[in-house]
Amino acid sequence: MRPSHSSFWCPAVGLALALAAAPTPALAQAPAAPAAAPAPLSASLTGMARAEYEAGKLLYQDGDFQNALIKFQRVYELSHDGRLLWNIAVCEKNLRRYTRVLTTLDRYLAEAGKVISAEDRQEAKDLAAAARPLVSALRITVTEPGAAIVIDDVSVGTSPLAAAVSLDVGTRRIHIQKAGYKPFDRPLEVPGGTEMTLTAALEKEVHQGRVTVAAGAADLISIDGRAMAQGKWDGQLSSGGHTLRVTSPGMTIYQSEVVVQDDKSREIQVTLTPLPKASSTSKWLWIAGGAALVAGAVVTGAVLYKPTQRPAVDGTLGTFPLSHGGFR
Amino acid sequence: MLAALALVSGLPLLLSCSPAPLGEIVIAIRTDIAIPKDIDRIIIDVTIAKTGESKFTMAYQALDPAHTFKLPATLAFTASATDPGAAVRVRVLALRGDGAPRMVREVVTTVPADRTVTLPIPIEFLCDGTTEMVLDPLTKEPVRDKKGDLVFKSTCDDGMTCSAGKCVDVTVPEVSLASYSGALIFGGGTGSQDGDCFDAASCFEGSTFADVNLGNCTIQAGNDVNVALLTQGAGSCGASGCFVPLDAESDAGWQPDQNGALRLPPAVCDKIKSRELGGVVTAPAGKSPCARKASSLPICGPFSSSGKYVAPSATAPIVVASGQQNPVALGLEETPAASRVYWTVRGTFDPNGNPSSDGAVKRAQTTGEEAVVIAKDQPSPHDIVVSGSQGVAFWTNASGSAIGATALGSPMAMALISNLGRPEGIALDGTTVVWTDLTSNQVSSTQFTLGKGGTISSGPSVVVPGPSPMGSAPRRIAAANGLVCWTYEDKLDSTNGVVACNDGTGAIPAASTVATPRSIALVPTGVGAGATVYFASFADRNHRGGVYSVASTGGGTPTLVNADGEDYPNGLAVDNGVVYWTSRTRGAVMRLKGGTLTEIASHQINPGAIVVGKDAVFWVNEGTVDKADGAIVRSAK
Repeated sequence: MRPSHSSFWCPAVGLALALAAAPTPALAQAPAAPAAAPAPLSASLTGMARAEYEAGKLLYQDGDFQNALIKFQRVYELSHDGRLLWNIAVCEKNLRRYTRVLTTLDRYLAEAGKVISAEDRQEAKDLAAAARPLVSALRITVTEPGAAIVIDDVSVGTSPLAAAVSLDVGTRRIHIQKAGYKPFDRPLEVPGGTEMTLTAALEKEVHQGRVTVAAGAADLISIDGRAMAQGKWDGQLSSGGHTLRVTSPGMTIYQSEVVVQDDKSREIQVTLTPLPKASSTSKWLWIAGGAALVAGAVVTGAVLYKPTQRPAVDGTLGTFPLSHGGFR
Repeated sequence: MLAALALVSGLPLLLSCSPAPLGEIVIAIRTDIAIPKDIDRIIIDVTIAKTGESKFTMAYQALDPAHTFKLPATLAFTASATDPGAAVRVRVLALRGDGAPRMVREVVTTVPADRTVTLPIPIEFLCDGTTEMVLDPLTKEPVRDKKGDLVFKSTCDDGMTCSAGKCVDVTVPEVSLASYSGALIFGGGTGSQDGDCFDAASCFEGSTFADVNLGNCTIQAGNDVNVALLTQGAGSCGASGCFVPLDAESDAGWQPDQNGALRLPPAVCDKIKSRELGGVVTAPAGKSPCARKASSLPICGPFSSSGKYVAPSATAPIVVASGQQNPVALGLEETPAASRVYWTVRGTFDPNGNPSSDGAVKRAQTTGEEAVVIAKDQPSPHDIVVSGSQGVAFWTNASGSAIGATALGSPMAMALISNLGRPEGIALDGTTVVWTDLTSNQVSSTQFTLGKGGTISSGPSVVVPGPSPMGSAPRRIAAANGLVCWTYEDKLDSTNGVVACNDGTGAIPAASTVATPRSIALVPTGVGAGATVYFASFADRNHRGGVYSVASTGGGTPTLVNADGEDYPNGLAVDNGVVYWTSRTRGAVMRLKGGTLTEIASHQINPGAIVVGKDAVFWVNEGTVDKADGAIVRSAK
């Protein structure tokens, strides 16, 4: 006589479980329980709980484990009878949710341990032992705190996780996300029966694009008020609007708004045109200004023309004039 | 009309007048350490000192082809026409790995109006670690700049910066800056690999330890030498150590004093006292690769803009960490996130020969870096076991009668088990820690649990029964799949050694009357808990010294894996059928693969424990007792 799980429904059919090496749980409706055993669930449950229980049995017999599970969970909520957890665990096993099998069996042994037989307990332990090789513990390390960790569309917490996450054998999809960082998405092959580690290095979302500005060899290229280079500049700018200014002595100033888009490249060719010459009508007014004024203009002009000189030495990392805004 | 005449008369003057030469400052950045091993990123920041106005900010990354850099490098700034006397602040921050700051150098000076000068900015080993993160005074959270990057500052006081390991004024008078000479920066060249460079690893390969007078920080040596610091992994690493050369007759290097000695920077002696340095070595200065090391001669490397770098053979042994005093055992952490080698350093001995409590557990990247102490003041740590997948390391503190433990993620040394006798060997099988104890002559085990915050707790200690009659002096231990095997070493020159196993059902003498069995390794057979047991008999090959294999189930006769035996095999590792061992007396590291015996390293100083990783084999050179000449060495598998 097997009193194990006798007080609740465990159909033998439909439990050709995926665990080839697993001991077969006591699934059949067992004979009557011994005198000391509590009444079978079919007898002890009443009202709605009993009706749901019967419905769960029918669904299970039809192989509808998902809905049978819902019914048994409903019965458990109504009755708080820990013996229902065995039915729930068996359904989970048919649904190949081995992690849940283990947690449910733990609860089963804890809640119903006193009313089930030693053989029931052993059977539960055997089932757990069979499921354990099909579960791996995954320790997840995320380089950033506060990242939401989702596995197979189920949230498992926020980084840093205090403990390893149990995963069923198979391919699991890991999704980790934090605002301001690129989502971390990775399929993970879970072999089962192992401890695994996963380190997710979240990369900051960088909103920038590449801009190439080509101008005359002596033209000074400034962006957002900072001198970047002479002649040609190629670099990354944050996405959005920037002010491009190209200047050269004696030439018209070029200034334009440049819109940079994420991960896009822009090439801008700038050709400065000479400043218009003074009109003939004003020529003699300039001359009339006096020799001293002209001499002064020559000196000033020399100073102003200094940046167009080539420096004595070019650095291997570049050469920059301190006169102009800056390079960043 | 007069004005027109004046203009005409002035034209020849105007046309014949060429502009004045442009004042310029050339920032010359150089280093005495290696890229990307020691630093892999530099950030150069130039601002107007008075206003803080940014003139230049750029980050260079060694491993990013788009922003890579070679050193020495120069960065030139021409004087401002509008504010020629304005002081500029130049700041160079060097970082490594995940943004860890290593050193920052800062200079405030002015740009000459009419000449071109060099502003040297050396990134120096002696200033390593003199940078710290800026914290918000209220929240104590790290401060970030507008771009979200962490902000770092020098550990020197405000207005000071590190030079040759000491804090000096950031201000450098313009008049003290030498006129620019590219040859003095680029080893006689222009920075396009056309100059010379100094191959420190080759130059100091046959170097000798200098006797350092720690009182005045001098060494006795002539002027015709090259001097280097023997580091724990920083600088140029070769087959015999890692070296940071000191420039001859330089403030940041060495200077001859009036007594004929060579005066070293005080920071050198500070680091020797704190045991951060293995010591100072010298080698005769002469022809390449050991030309006299001057500041104008950059060090060689794939990162150098001077000289033609010749990479060492991929199979040649290379030191991961030198300058170790009595290293004992090592373990590996190899996960997708980390690749590190861990080792124990027994520390020094008192005048009576008793171990002091200054041992340590250290770690470094398997590709090398300055070693990091993760457990200090350990009482004679001996064996160590590391589990990268579980994120833990355990070691035996022989004099402390304890098992030490730490989580790898955030190292914090703790005692897993205390009140033992003299724990010696240690191994890990899942969450079971097993160890040998020379005092109790027993093997014990416990279960560990890694908790929150890296705390590690243990269950009760359980004795793992040994065979009867029991051997003596259980030394090294190995465990896998529920099987535990260990060596009873007995005494040197004894043949009473025993190799014992216990598979959980009882103790089995796998081999008896063995000559001093020491190292041990298991290769599971796949049948139950059975395994082939490899062990090393620490004896002369004429007295049964060699590496043997035997079945864990007992009843078999140990077989020499190499028929010729070996002299004092000291360490042993097995990887996919390939057997590696070290010979202490021959200074050799051997590999037996498919019946072919290869000496993969020679001239090692007392090689001992050995482990095999995914791509490389690592071993301990125990060195000599009173010198920091021990090392951790890596070689291709």
